[in-house]
Amino acid sequence: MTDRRDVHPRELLSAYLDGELADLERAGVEAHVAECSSCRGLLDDFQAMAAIATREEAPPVPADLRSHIRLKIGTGGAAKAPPPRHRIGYYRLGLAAAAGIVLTIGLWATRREHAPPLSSPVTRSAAPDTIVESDRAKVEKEPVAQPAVPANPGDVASLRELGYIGDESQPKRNAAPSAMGRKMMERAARPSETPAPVIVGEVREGERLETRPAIEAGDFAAPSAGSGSASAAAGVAEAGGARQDVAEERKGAARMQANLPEAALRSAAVGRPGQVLLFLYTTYRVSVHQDGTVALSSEGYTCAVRRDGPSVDPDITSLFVLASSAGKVAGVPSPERRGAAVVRLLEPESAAEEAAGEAPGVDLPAGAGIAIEIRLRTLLRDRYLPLMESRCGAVPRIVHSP
Amino acid sequence: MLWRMGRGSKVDPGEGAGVATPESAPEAGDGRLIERATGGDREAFDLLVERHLPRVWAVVWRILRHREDSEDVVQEVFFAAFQGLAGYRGEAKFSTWLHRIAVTRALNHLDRKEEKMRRAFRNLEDGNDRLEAGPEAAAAWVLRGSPSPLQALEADDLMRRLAACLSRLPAAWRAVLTLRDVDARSYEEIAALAGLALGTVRSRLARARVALRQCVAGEDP
Repeated sequence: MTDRRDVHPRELLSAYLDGELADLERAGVEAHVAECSSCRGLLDDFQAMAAIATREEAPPVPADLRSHIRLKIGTGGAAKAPPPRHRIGYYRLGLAAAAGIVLTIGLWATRREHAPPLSSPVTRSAAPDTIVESDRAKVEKEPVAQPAVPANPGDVASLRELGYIGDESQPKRNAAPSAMGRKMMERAARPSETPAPVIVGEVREGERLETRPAIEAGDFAAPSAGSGSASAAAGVAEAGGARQDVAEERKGAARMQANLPEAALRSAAVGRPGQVLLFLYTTYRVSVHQDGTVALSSEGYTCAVRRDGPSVDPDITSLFVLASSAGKVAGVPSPERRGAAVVRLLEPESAAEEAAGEAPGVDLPAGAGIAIEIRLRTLLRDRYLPLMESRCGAVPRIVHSP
Repeated sequence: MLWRMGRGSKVDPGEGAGVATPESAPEAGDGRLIERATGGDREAFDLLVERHLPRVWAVVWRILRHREDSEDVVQEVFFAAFQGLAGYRGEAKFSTWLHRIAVTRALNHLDRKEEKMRRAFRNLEDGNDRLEAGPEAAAAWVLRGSPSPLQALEADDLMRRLAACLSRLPAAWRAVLTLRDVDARSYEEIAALAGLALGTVRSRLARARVALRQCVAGEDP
C-alpha cells in the first residue's frame, strides 16, 4: 500500500466489498481505506449501486411467454417465437388496428358519397425509394419496373381534388439515385444543418408485422421507386430550396398514395397528407413522416427508412392519430427535458417552413408528447433502429440510451 | 460500513447436476409435480413453469436486459429443463437447478452475441481502457470524483440512472455484476458458471463497477 502504484487499488476495493480477499490483502485495503477518503467514497458508491441493483425489479413476465413455452415443448423445440422485431405489444397492434378500421370505415363512408368506385389496384415495384450507397450498384444493375396500369380516371380526379394526388407532370424518381439523390448524399457528408434524412431503406416484406389490421390484408404490392418516402426525405433534407423540395415531397407522397388501392389509401389518410412529427432531442432528432418514413439525424449520421409494402406502418399511423387528437401548444416550445424530446407536429405548410428554418412548428402538449415519444421509442427499438443499422451502419450510441 | 461477505459454497457448473447440501431437498409441492412431469405429464410441468417462471424470467432479463432475447432464452431454459428432468437427481432444489440452467443459457446467449455487443459498446470499453492505462490515471479519475458523486443523487434518480447504465454496460461485465450483486454468487461460482478464471472475474467486476459508477455519475467515459 505504500507503493505509489497501489494508490486507490480499485480492483482490491471491489473484491474487498465482496468479501473475496485473503486476510493479508484485506488488512492492507482496510489500512488504506482508513486514510483515503476517495476510496471510502468509491466503496460507498459500489455498495449503493449494489443495493439499488438488488432492488430493481425485472419487467413483468410477458403474457404470451407461457404459451410460447408450452408450444416449444409441445413441438419438441421446433417452434420458435417470431423474430424480435415482429414482436410488438399485441395491445398496441390491437389499438392501431381498431383505429385503422374505424378511420377506414369513416373515410369509406365519406368517399362513397363523392367518388366512383376504384378500379383494380395497380402493380407496383418493391424497390426502395432511395437507396443506400452500397445498394446503388445493385439497383442500377436491376432496373425496377414502373407502375404501368393507371387508376380509374374519375377516382384519380377525385383523389387529386382531395389533395392525395400530385401533378402527374412531375417527373417520377427512379430507383437509381437521381441528381437530387446524389446532392442529398453530398449534403449528408457535411455537418448537419438540417434534420436531413439521406438514406432511405425499407423493411423487407418478410419483416412485416405478425398481426396486421384487416385493412392491410389485401395483396398489395410494394410502392414504386420514387414514391413518398424518398420525397419526404428529400423535402427535409434540402434546406436551401426548402419550399420547392417540400412541395416535391408532398407531390411524391401524393403520387405514392395515387398508386395505392383504395383500402391502403384510407389507412394512410389519417390526418393531413404531408404531416411530419418531429422529435427533437439534445443531440439528435427523429422525424416521422406520414407516408411511413422514419428518419434519424445526428451529427455525422443520417438515415431514413420505411417499412416495406404499400400501406403505412399502422404504428406510425397511430402516432399521427394520437398527435391529431392531442391539441396544440401553439408557438410555445415545450421546455426541453433531460433525455426526453420536444415533440412537434408539422403541418404540410410548416413542414416547408421548418425545413427552411423559418418556423418553429407547433409543439404538442407535454403529456401527449411523452405518450407519443414512448411509442416512438418502442418502435425505434423494435423495428426501425435495427433496420437503420442494417442499412446505414451503426446508429450512434446516444440514440440507444433512454 | 457494512461490507458484503462472499459465500464460500462450491458450484457444479453442469446444468443437470445439483449441489448437494442439507437444504437441497426438493421444495415442498415441487416433488410430486416433478415426479408426474418426469413421467410425461405435461400438465404437471406446466404447473412447474407457472411456479418458477417469474424467477427464471427475472434472472435471465437481468443478465440480458433485452426483452425479446430474454423471451427466447427463457423458452430454451424450460425446454431444456423438460428434456433434462430425467437427469434431475433431486440433490438440489428444483429452483436452484432451474436457476443454474437459466444462468448458463443466458451466458451462452451472450457468447453468441458477444461480438455484436462488443461493437455496440466499443466506446464505453475504450473509455475504460483508458483507466487501464495506469494506476495514476485511475487515481486521477477517482480523485476527480471524490468523495462520491453518487451521493448527491436522489434514490429514484440513482435507480433510473443505474438501470440505464446497466443496459449500456458490455454484456459480459453486466453478467458478472448481476451474478454478484443480485444473485450474491461467490467469485468461484461466477467463474464456474461463466467459464472464466477467478482473476478475470475479480478484474471484470472491478472494471464493471468503475464503469457503472462513472456512467451513473454522468461523467464521460
